[in-house]
Amino acid sequence: METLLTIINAFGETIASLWRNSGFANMALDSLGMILISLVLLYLAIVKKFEPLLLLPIAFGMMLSNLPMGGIFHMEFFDPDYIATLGYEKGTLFAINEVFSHGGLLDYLYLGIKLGIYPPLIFLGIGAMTDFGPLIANPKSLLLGAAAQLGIFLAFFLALFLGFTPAQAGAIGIIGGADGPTAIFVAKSLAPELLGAIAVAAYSYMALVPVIQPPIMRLLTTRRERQTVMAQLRPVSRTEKIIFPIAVTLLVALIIPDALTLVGMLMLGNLLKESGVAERLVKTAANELMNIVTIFLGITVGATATAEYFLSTSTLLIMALGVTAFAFGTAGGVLIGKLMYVLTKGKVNPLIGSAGVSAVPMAARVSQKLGQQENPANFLLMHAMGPNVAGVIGSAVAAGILLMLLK
Amino acid sequence: MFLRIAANVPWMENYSTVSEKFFIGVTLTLLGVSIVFLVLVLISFMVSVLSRLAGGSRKQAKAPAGAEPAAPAAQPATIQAAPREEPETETTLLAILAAAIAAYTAESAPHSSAGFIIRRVRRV
Repeated sequence: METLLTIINAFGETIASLWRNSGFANMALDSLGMILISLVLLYLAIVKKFEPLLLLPIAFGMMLSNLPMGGIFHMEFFDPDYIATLGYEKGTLFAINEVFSHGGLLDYLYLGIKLGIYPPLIFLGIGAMTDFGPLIANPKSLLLGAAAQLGIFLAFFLALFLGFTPAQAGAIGIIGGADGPTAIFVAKSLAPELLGAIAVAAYSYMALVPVIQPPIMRLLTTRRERQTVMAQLRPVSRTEKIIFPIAVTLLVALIIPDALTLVGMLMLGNLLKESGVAERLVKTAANELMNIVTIFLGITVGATATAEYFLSTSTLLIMALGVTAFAFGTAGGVLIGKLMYVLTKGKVNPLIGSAGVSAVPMAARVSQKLGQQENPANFLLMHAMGPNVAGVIGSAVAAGILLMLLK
Repeated sequence: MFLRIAANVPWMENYSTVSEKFFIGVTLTLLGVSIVFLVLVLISFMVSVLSRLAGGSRKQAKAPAGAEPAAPAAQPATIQAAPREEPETETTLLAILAAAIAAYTAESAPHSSAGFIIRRVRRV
């Protein structure tokens, strides 16, 4: 009888212990809120197809890191304030001993972001997929790519007045570059505590380009301007395409060394493609490597959005500032496009200016669609691809400037 | 070089008052926008020089409204490559044009079943 009681007691204690260590018993209300947000993002990625290749792993990573007791990710190991309490030297990137002795899978994968490895590798893949031909054929489109970076700096200005530090404001402003890897690359250096919110904002707004841009484009242009048919671009020789990435790397690296990592990898990918002698490497960079890094990047960026860091008024402000940056970037590109329309006596369609915000090739397609709505004989896609890829270079340059001044 | 100097000046350490925030905001905005423009203008200039040195044709192709069908396409990179391929036979050219038009019509009217055959292309 006594033995039976002992067995029942042991069984009861085991069940109680299992319950105490279960996620149900340890679920905090804010973590539950984050899990619900991740489910909404999963819905947007799967059903609405909002940037699914990134939003899906981001949302799932968010869900994983907010599930209690799993120990898959510890954001505090990367928090400078927490690291300081452990006695590490100022400037230490992460709690090294804690990560390697108590870290979970996503702690290890997150090192790829913390050490700045994933975004440049994504840029390598983007370079291997990008055709800079339209940009080389019409170098003036670089001006449109530059103008569209206006949103970055205006958002910085606004963020500063909303109470963010200059470094945080810079990380938020880069959302206006409409370039996810660039936003992550800057945020992990300037404001790691805001990384989750910034990445979610950047990728959400990139998916919403066809919704955000058209009203601004229509507002700032006349019907006549939108109907402008542009002359066909000249063919670009292979030699030009090969020299371009080498020359751009040298020029940008010498002026803004902090932009070297992103621009250098972008141009390496492009040189691999244009050289025509490294087909296997191009395939790897543009497909397998890109896909692997995208999974790692997405899931770890999502994991940083834990309740403690994500559920705050800062996140709402970041979302608002992000869309403002996008809007100003679009407006900047379109306004310079209008200026070019005037200076060229109606040879440039201002609609291609909005494509300068990066978001390749979505923004260029928006220009094409709007132009064709006004004039069915209007084909702006290739013309818009020029500012579009110029925007990638422009946002990388802007990122380098922010890193150099604010880090 | 200039940026290195700017980065080392502690002008961004005090940002508590409105005037300090305004100063930082305006300075960085002007600096940032100017440098982005400067770099991209330099790249633009470099590309122009490069085009001349590399012997790229600077003649802008005349594009009458009817001669545009190569531009609209779902896959920009593919169509961009088309002019370089210099199709040797008219059959190849016809296939490229048919594919471009098919891609365009599929994008603008995905449910349309209108078929077409290009029998001849005439240079104008």
